Formats: sequence, structure tokens, C-alpha cells
Amino acid sequence: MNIQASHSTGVFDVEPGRAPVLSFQGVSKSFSHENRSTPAIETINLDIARGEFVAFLGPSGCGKTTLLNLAAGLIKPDNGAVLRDGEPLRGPNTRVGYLTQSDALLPWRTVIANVTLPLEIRRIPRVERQARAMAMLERVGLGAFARHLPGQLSGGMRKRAALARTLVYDPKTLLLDEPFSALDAQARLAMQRQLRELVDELGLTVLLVTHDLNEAIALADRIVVFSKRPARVLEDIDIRHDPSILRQRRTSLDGSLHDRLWSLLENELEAGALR
Amino acid sequence: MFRHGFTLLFLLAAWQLGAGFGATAYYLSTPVQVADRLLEWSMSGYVWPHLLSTIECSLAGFGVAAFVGTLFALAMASSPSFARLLEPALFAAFSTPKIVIAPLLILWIGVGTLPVIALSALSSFFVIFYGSYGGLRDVSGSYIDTAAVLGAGYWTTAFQFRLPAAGPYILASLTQGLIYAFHGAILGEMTASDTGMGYLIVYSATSMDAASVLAALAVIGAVTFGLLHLLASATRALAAPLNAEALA
Repeated sequence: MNIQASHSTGVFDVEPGRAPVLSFQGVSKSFSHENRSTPAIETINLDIARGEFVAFLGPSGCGKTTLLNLAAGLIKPDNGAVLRDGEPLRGPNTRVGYLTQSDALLPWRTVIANVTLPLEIRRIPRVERQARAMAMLERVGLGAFARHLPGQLSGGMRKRAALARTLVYDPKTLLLDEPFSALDAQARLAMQRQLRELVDELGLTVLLVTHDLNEAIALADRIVVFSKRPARVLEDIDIRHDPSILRQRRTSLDGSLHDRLWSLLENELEAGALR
Repeated sequence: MFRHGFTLLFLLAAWQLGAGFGATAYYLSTPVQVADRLLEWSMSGYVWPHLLSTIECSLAGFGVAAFVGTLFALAMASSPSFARLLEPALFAAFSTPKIVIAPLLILWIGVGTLPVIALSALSSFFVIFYGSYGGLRDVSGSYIDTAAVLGAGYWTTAFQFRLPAAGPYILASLTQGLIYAFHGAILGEMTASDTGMGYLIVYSATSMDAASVLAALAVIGAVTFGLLHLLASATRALAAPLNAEALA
């Protein structure tokens, strides 16, 4: 144990495998607007174990993004606590990589300067950060576009640049907020495959928010289905996957799972429409 | 450009002819007299020290205002509690006409270039401050959230995220600020100095010399016009990388 600890490479490996990477404990959150308080999420209890790929599935606007913002430490819960590696989260969670819906690439910086930014913040020497950023850009297939400005890239390329910026500082947990929703079908498939490969290769824990149930089935090990706003957990389904069946699953294997998820979501949509 | 020249020529001709009637020449002077005066000034070198002094004082005032103005705006945009603390005082100062402060400035720091620089800085500070503050405060929350998750501290967020994101607003407010600095310097010279274009106007007017007043106004107009053009092209060059975003 001691030997292991002294060999650990980053600040991220606190007691590997012990406490859940992220834990929502009775978390509620409301937003007030013009003196009216609207609950976004209600008493959520969830543990995310190390190495899990969890999809948060639910109707649009149900408060899934609020959960990611809580996990990123950008907002505080009204009740309950968000734990990171067993410790209550105080302030922004800099051990996670957060890919928001808008890629938030800085338009005045070149692609590589965007990717080196988190390393600059961590005061990593110039030569090393250039090398690490370039390696990460090569990995997502953007090596040739390092000197371009974000405005000169396509939507899919911008997403990959943002992914490179998120992964370059070696976070062990990724928060993804509908990262591929704005992409066309082909680019989305390519990005999904690339993401799954990267996640397996780097051994990442992932929280993926999506309203696309095919995406959830194709990528995740575990699918948590949320109700309409205020979000409550409706179902927590383990579909621990084997990478080799990824292709199969997308077609026929999980027809029944697809139907089950769809009926859950359908109920929520109807309930929402009737309100 | 050609059409503008034609309009100008027409107006000057009308002025020249109109000023010939009655005693109006005494008050209005004529374009020929004004041109004569301008030529005389530039040949004798009389106008240069005045113009140079005005430009120097405006640049000094602008420099102070640009630095302090953007810094205040950045600090207030980054920290709402700091903003709440300072906003009422700044608004009160903003609503005071700057020229009424001139006598007070003379009382405190005497006459000469210093009160001129101070009035120039005061005039342009608020334009720069309010223009930048709006842009800096309304920077998209996604940049600020990104900064937080990437681990950026207060200063990094302010200088690497907020400041460049508000770049176009700041550049626009600086452009306006430079013109206000120039005009503030002239106001200062009219009340608290014995050099500069502002002093020249007051001196000429008290000597009943309309041609000189108008010649000085022509010089001021030409300099303002030149400044605006210079700034417009500088702003375009600086903002070019940001426009790549819009073009994509």
C-alpha cells in the first residue's frame, strides 16, 4: 500500500478503488428566478465507481446538466453533499475534465494554445506543455490543425480540440454534457468511437449526459434514467459492456433494452406535455 | 471621398461669398483669411509647440485613463462585491461635468500641464471605464466556468479569459476614450494653461481675432479626424483574429 502510494503519478490517485470517485448524497437543487423557486433536482443518491462509464439519460431540460455542474463544483447543492473520493467537494472540482455543451474554446487562441492553457495554469514548463498538447492533438487527429484558430474548424473538429484540452492535464474523470448533440450523424459516430477508445485506453471514469438513448446504449456501462424536472432517478441499469460487442449491441442485441428505455422516456415526455 | 471633397469645397465657397456682406467678416472671418492664418502659423512655427503640447497632454491623460479605467472595470467585473462598493461613487463622479472640476484642479495642483493632463484623464476615464465594464461583466458564463474547471485562479481568469473575451468592447471604448482625452486636454488648456490649442483659442477670442479661433478649430478638427482614422484601422487590425470566428 505504501509502495503503491509513493509510486502514484498524480494527485488524482487518492486511495484507488476505495471511495466512489463521485457520490451524490441526498442532493437537491432549486433555481430561483424572479422570486419563484423551481426545483431542478430532488434528493439524488448516486455513487459513481472508479472506471465506470455512466450515462445520464432523461428528457431535455430535466436537470441533468445541473448534476454535472454540481459534480464540477460550479454550483453548490441546497441540501445533501457531493463527495469526491469520499471528501465533500468545496469549490471547483479541478480533478475532473468537463466538456460542456458549448465547447468554450477561446477564439483568440490557436488550437494548440487552447490545449496548452490548462498546463499553463498548472505551471508546467513550456517545452513539456507544447509536447503534451501536440501529442494529445495528434491523438484526436488534429495534429495538422494545431496553428489554426477555432473559428476555422468544423463543429466536429472543435469538439475534438475541446476534448484534447480536457484530457491534456490527465483528469481521471470526465464529465460530458451532450457533447455530440450538435454534430451530424457521421461525425457523431466517429466521435463516439474515438471517445470510447480513449476512455478504455486511459482508464477514465465518465459521466455522460445525453437525451439520445442509442448513444447511451452504445457507450455506457450503466444507464441512469431520470424523470422530467425536478429530476429523480427512475431506473439505474447496469449494462456492463465488453468492447467487442459494441457493434452488435448497437444493432440487435439490446432491442429489448432500447424498448424498455424508450417506454420510460416516453412516459416522461407525455407527463411533461400534459402539465 | 471625391464627393466629400466637393461638398467641402461648396461650403467653403458659400462661406467665402456670404462672409463678404456687411460686417459679418469681422465675426466670421473668411476661409481665405483662415487659410492665410494657418499658412502663417505653420511657416513661423507658432502653432507647433501648442499643438505638440495638446497632443502630449492628451496622450498622457489617455494613458492614465486607459490603464486605470480598464483595471477598475476588470476588477469590478470580476468581483461583484467590489462592484457594489464602488458603483455609487463612480456614478456620482460620472454625472458631474468634468469642466467644473477644473477650478478645483487649479486649486490643488496649480496651472500648467499637470491640470491639463488630469482633466484629459478624467474626461476619458469614464468613457473607457463604462464601455469596458459592460463588456467585461457580460462575458459568457461558459468561459468563466471553463476557467474554473481548468483550475484558473482569480488573476488567470481575469487576464486570460475575461479580458480577451471582452476585447472588442475594450477596443471600442479605448477609441472613444482617446477622442475624449483630446477634448478634455483642450478644455483644460482653456482654463488652466498658457500653452496648447485650447489656450490659443481663448487667447485669440479675447483678442477679437476670429480668424485665429477658426484656424485653431480647423487644426483640432483635422487632428481628431486623423486620430479616428488611425484608431479605426488599428482596431480592425487588432480585432482581425476574432473576426475569424464570425467568418467560419
